[in-house]
Amino acid sequence: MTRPGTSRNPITLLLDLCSSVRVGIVLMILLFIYCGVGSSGLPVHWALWEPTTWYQLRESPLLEMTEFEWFHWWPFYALLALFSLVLVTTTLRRIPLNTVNLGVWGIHSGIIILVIGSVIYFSLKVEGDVPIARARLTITLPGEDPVSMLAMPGHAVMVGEGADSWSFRIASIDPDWELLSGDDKGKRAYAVTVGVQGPEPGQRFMRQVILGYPEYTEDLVSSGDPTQPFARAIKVHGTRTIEPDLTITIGPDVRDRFYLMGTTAIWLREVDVSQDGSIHPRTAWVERPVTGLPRFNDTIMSPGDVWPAGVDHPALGTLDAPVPPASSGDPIPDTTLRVSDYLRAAQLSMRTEPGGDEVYPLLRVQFSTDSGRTQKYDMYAFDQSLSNADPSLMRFIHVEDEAAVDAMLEITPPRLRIEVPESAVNEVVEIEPSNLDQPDESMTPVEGTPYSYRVLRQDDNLSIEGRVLSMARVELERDGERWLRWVFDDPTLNGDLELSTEGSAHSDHVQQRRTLDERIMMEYLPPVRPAAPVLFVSGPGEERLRLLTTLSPGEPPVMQEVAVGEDLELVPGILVTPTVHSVRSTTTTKPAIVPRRQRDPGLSNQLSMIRVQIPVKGGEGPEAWLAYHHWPFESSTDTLRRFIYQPTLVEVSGDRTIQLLLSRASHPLPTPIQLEGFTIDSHVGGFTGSTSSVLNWISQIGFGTGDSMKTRAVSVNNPQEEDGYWFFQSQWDPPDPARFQGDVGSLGLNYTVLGVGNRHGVWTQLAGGTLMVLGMLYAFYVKPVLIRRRQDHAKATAQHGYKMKAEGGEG
Amino acid sequence: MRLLLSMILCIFLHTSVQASPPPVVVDTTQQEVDLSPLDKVAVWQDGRLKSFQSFARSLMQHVTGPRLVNGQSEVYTCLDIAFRPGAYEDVPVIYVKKKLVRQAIINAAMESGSISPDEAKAFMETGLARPSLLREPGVSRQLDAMRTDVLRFARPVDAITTALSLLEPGVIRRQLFIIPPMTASFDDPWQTMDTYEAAFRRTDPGAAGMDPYITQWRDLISAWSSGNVQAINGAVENLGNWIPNMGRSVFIDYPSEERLKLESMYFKLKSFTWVWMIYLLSVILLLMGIVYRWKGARWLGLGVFGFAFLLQTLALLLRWYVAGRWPNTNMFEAVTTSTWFGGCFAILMEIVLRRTRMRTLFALGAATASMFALMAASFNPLHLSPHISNRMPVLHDVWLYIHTNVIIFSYVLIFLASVSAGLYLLLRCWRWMNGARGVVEHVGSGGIGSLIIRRRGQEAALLDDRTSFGAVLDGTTMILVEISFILLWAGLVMGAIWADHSWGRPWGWDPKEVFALNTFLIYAILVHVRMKTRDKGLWTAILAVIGCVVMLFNWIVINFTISGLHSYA
Repeated sequence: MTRPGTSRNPITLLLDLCSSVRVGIVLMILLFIYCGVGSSGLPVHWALWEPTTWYQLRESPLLEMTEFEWFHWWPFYALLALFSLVLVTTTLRRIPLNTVNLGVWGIHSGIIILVIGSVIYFSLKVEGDVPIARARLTITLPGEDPVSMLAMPGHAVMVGEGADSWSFRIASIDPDWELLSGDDKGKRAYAVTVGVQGPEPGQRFMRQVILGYPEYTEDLVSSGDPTQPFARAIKVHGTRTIEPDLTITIGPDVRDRFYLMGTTAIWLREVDVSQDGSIHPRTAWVERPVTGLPRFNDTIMSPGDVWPAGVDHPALGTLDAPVPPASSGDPIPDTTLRVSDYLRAAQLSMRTEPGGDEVYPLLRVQFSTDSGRTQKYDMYAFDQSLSNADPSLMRFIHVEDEAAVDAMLEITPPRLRIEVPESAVNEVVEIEPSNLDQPDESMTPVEGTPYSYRVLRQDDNLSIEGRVLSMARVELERDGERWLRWVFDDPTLNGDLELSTEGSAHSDHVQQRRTLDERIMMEYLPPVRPAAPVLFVSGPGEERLRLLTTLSPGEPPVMQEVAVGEDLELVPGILVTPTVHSVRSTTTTKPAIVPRRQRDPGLSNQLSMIRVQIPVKGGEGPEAWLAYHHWPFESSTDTLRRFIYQPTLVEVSGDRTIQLLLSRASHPLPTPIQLEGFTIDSHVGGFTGSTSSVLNWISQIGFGTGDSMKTRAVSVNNPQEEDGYWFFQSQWDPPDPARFQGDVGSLGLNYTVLGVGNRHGVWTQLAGGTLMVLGMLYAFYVKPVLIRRRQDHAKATAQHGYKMKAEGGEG
Repeated sequence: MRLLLSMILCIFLHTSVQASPPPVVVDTTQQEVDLSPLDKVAVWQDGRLKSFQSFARSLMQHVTGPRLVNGQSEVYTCLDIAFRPGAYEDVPVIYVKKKLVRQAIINAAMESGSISPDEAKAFMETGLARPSLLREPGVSRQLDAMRTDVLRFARPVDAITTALSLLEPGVIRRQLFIIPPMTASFDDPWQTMDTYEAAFRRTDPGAAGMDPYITQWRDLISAWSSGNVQAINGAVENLGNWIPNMGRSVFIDYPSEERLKLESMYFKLKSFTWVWMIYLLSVILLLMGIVYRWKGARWLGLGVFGFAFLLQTLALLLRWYVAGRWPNTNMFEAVTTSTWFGGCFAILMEIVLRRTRMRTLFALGAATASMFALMAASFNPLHLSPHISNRMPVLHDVWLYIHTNVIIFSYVLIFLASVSAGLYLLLRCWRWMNGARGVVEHVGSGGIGSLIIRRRGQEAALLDDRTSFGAVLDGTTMILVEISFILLWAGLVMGAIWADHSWGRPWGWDPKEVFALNTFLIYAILVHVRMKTRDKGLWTAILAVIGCVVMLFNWIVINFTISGLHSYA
C-alpha cells in the first residue's frame, strides 16, 4: 500500500486529496450546514422560538424549493458523491483491512451501502395518495342515461331536462345504520337517504338505500306532520317504493389511479354548456404535467391583475411556462398552454366599485355603537346573495318610480283563508293581534258554518327541510269537539292534532295526530311587510337614498331621507352611516391575495392559483385563473367533503368550450381498489367525532375486481402491499355540522384516503444502517479489547524473551 | 462557593416570585371545603378515565395556565367556575401567555380607559386578566385583529377564546362526565350529572326527584351557590362515595380507587417536578466533592442524588401505573423519562467505574440533566404539560418503545457528555487564566479504549492515578460520546423502520429527522477531528457541547417552532 503524500504525481495528489480525513471533515461540515439551512432555515432574529425568526432560504424567489427538492438538488448530490468518494478512497488507502479495523470498515461500508440504497430508493420512488368514497349512487330513470354521484352529504344531481327533470339530493348519510330486521338484524350498514323531487310539485319523497342490502331499499313519503314530516311508504301506500320506474342503486367507488405528491398538472376536457348553465362533457379529463412553476412566491404580470394584500406585493414578471399536450384524447392537441402567473395563496374575489355605465346599485353602510364598535356592510340591490348583511334584517333595493315606494308603505297583516265547501263559505280573515296575545280568549265563529276557531300562534319564514314555510296554529271547534290544526302557507302540509291533555294547546309538546278534517280547508297567508326591518331604498334617479324602518311589528314603517356620510340614529345608541352609494357600478373578479401573515402553514399550496393563456393562431387567445384542487374530481358530484371543485370554463376557437382544472399528476394503481368498509376503534366512551377518541382507523380495502377481489384491512401502522405498491391509512372523514345556510351536516366516515407508494431499496438502506451500528460497536468496544490483547501478548512475549535471554545469558 | 450560594438564592427567589398568587380574593370558603372525597371519582375526558384532580388540572390549565387563582386548588376553582360562573367575571383568572399579546391588550384597554395602571402592571407580571377586560369591545377588536396573524398570534388569541368559553355558564358542567354508561358498554358515552338527570326525568319524571345522585348533585349546587360549607362537604362526601360504587357496579372498566387516588396524589404533588431542587443540592455537593476533592461532600452528594433519583423513579412508576403505559409519549414524558434513563446509566457507571478517577462525574452529569429537565417542567408547565392523555393512533406501535426510548436515551447521554465537556472547558479556561496556556490534556485514544488500552506500556489512561483531571474529563466525555453516537444512529435506523411502515417512507427529510442526523454528523466530525488534532481534549469538548446544543435545538426549537411530522414527540 502506497503511503499517501509521498508522491508528487498529479493523480496521486488527487488520490491524496480524496483520501484526506480533513477533506472528509470539511465535507461533513458542509453537509451539516446544507441540511440545517434546508430544514430549519436561517435565523434572522435572536428569538429562536418565534416562527417568524426562521427564514427559509430554499423558499426564496431564486430557489423556490420544497424540502424534498432541496435535498434532491445537485449540490446535495455533489456533496454526497464527494463524501462517498473521499470515504471510499480513504478507507481503501489509509485503513488496512484487518481484524482491528473491521469496525471502521463496517461503518464506512455501511455508509456506502446506505447511500446506494438511498439512490435506488429516491430515484425509483413513486408516492402519492388516493381518496376512496364508501359508496357511489347510480340513478336510473326510463329514457334517461344513468347518472351517478358519490355518496356525500349534500350532493345533488338533476336527471332529465326542463319541466320533466327530476332532482336528487343526498339528505343524510348514516355510516352506522343498524339493520332492524332480516337475517343480519343488529348488524351495521352504510345507509344513504336521497331527497327526490319529481316533475310534479307533489312528487316529493325520500329514498333510503343501504350498501350491500338492495332488498331494504324503501321510500319515505310526506306525512304532513311537521314534527315527523316523513313516514315509511309501506305504511302509507303499502309498497316499499312509490316510483317503481326510478332506480337508485348503491355500489362501491372503484379507483384505478392515484395522485402524485409534489406534482402539478392541468386537467382539461371539452364540454357543452346548456342554457341553464349545466355542463355536459364531450371528452374525458386528460392531464398535462406542469413543470417550472414557483412554489412559494407570487409572480404576476401586473399589480392590477390581483386585489392588493396589504403590505405584500407580489413580484412582477411573466413565467411563460409552456404546458404542451401529453396524452391522446387531449381536446386541444395543437395548442400548448402557457402559465403566465402564479399565486401561492389567493382566492378569486368578485368586488364591485362605483362607476361605469351599468346600472347595478351598490350601497355601503357602517353601523357604530356608543362603545365604539363598528360593523360595515356591502349591499347590492340586484343580488341580495352577495350582501354581507342578514337579509332578514337589512336589505337594499332600487326603485324606478315612487309608486313602488308607496306600495312598500302599505302593510298587509297576516290572514287566514277559510273554506267550508258544505256551507259554501270561502273567506279571508285577518288574524287579529289580540288573538296572538290572548290565546285563551273565546273562539271566533266562522259565520254560516258549524266551525269556530282561534289563532294561537303564528310563525313566519321557518326553515323546514330546506324549505321556507310560514304557519299558524289554529284551534278549531265543531259540535263541542276541539282540536288543533297546523295551517301552512302550503295547504298540502296542513295537519290536525289532538289537543294536549295536559297544559295548554299552545304548548310545544308532541301531540297525537288525527285525521285531517277535510270539511274545512285553511290556508295561512303570511303578512306582507317591507322586505326587512331596515330597508334602504335607492332611486328613483341616481342620487336619492331613503331608509325605511319597520322596527316594531305593530307600527307603520318610517321613511326618512339619508345622505352619504351623514350619521343617522337607527335606535338609541346605534348610528348608521351610508359611506358609499352608487346606482352605477362595475363588478370585477380577480384573485385576492391572502397576506403572508394570515396564511396557515398547514394549508401548504392548497390555495395556490395559476393563470393560463390559451394561445390561438394570430393572437394571444383567452386566459383564465385556475384554482388548485387537491384531487382532480370528475364533477361536482364526485367531490369529497372539505375539498373544492371549481373548474374554469374557457371558450376557444370554433365555439368550443374547454374546462380547465389545476391539480396533480396521476399514476395508475397496480390494481383497481375500492373501500369495502371503514371503521373506527375508539378509546373508552366510544367515538365522539374528535380525533382524541380514536384508537385506530381501519379501511377495508378490496384489491382487484370481481371474483378475484381480495379484501384486506389497511390501518395505522398496518400497511398492505399489492404488486410492489404499499397502501397506508392516511386521512379520514370526520363528522362536521352544516357549514353554511342550506348545507347538510355530516356524520363523517364517508371516505378514506390512502397513501400509496413503492419502496425499492429500503432493505439496502436498512442493511447499510445496521452494518454501521455493528461497525460502531466493533470499533468502540471490540477493537480496544483486541489491542489490549495484543499489548498483553506483546508484553508477555517480551517478558518471556527477556526471561529466556536472561536465562540464556546466565547459561 | 459564594457564587454558587448566590446562584441558589437567585433561583429560589425566582421560584417564589413565579409561584406568587394573584392578589384578588374571590371566596374565603375554599379553605373549609373538603373536596378530597372527589379523588375517588373518575371523570371521562377525551377517551380517558381520569381522577377528578387530573381532570380539573388539565381543564384549568386552559384557563389559569400555570397559575393558581387565590391559592385555590384546581378542583375548587373548576367547581367554583362550574357552579358560580359569573363570580369570576371581574377576577383575573385568564392566563395570557405571550407578553406581546398582554401588551396589546393593555394598550387597547388603556385607550378605552378600562384598565388602571396597577391592574396593567399586575397583568404584565402574572399574565392573568379578568374576563370582563378581555370581553371589553376595544380589547375584543384588538384580539380579533391579532388572530388574523396566523403565525404569531392566532394560537395565543385562540387560547384566550377557549378560556373565555370555559367560563361561560354551563360549559364546565357539560364536561363533567362522571356517570358511566348504564349499558356497561365500553364504547357507550359517559354522562354528566345534568344529562343523567335529564335522561332520568324523560324516562321517569316522578322518580327523578328521589334519585340520591340527583338529589345530592342538586344539594351540592345550591350549597355551593349559598356558600354553605357544611352542606357542600356533606354532598361531596356522599357523591364521592356513591358515584364510584355505582360506577363499579355497572361498568367493569371503572378505575380502581387505588389508581384514582394515586393519580390525584401524583398531580397534587405537582408531578414531582420540584425534585429539581434536590437535584440542585446534589449538583452543588458533587461539584464541591470534585473541585475540592472533598470526600464527605462527594458521598453526601451521591446520597442526595440517589434520594432524588428514587423520588424521580417513584414519579415515573406512578405515572406509568396511572397512565397505563410507559411514559414516553409526550414532551413532558420524553424529557423526564430521558433524564431518568440518564440517572440509571449514571448509577450503573458509578458502580462499575467506582475505582476509577471518573467516579462522581456520571452522577454529576445525570443530576444536572434531571435538574434542568424538572426545572423546565416546573417553570414551564404549558410547554411541558404533565397532563396525561391518550396516545395518537400512530403511536400505538411497538416501535414507540424501541425507537423513542433509544433516541431519548442517546439524548440524555449527549447532555451528560456536554456536562463533562463543559467542566473540561472550564478547567482549560481556569488553567489558561493561570498561565498554563500550552497544556494539552486528553486520554489519547477513545473513551472505552482509554479504560482498556495500555498507555506507553503502563496501565490504561483512565485507570492510572497519574492521569490529569483534564484527561479524565476528556475520557468521560468520550465514553459518553461513543455510547450516544451508537444509540443515536441505532435510534435513527429504528425510526426509519417505523416510519417506513407507518408513513410509507423511511426518511422524509422532516426537520426532526434532519436535525437528529445533524447531531450525528457533529459526533462523526468529533470522532474524526479527534484523530487529526493535537489538542484532542479541547476539540472534543467544544464539539460535544455543540452536539448538545444541536440536540437541544432539535428537541426544543424544532418541536415547538418548526412544525413537522414529529411535532407530537
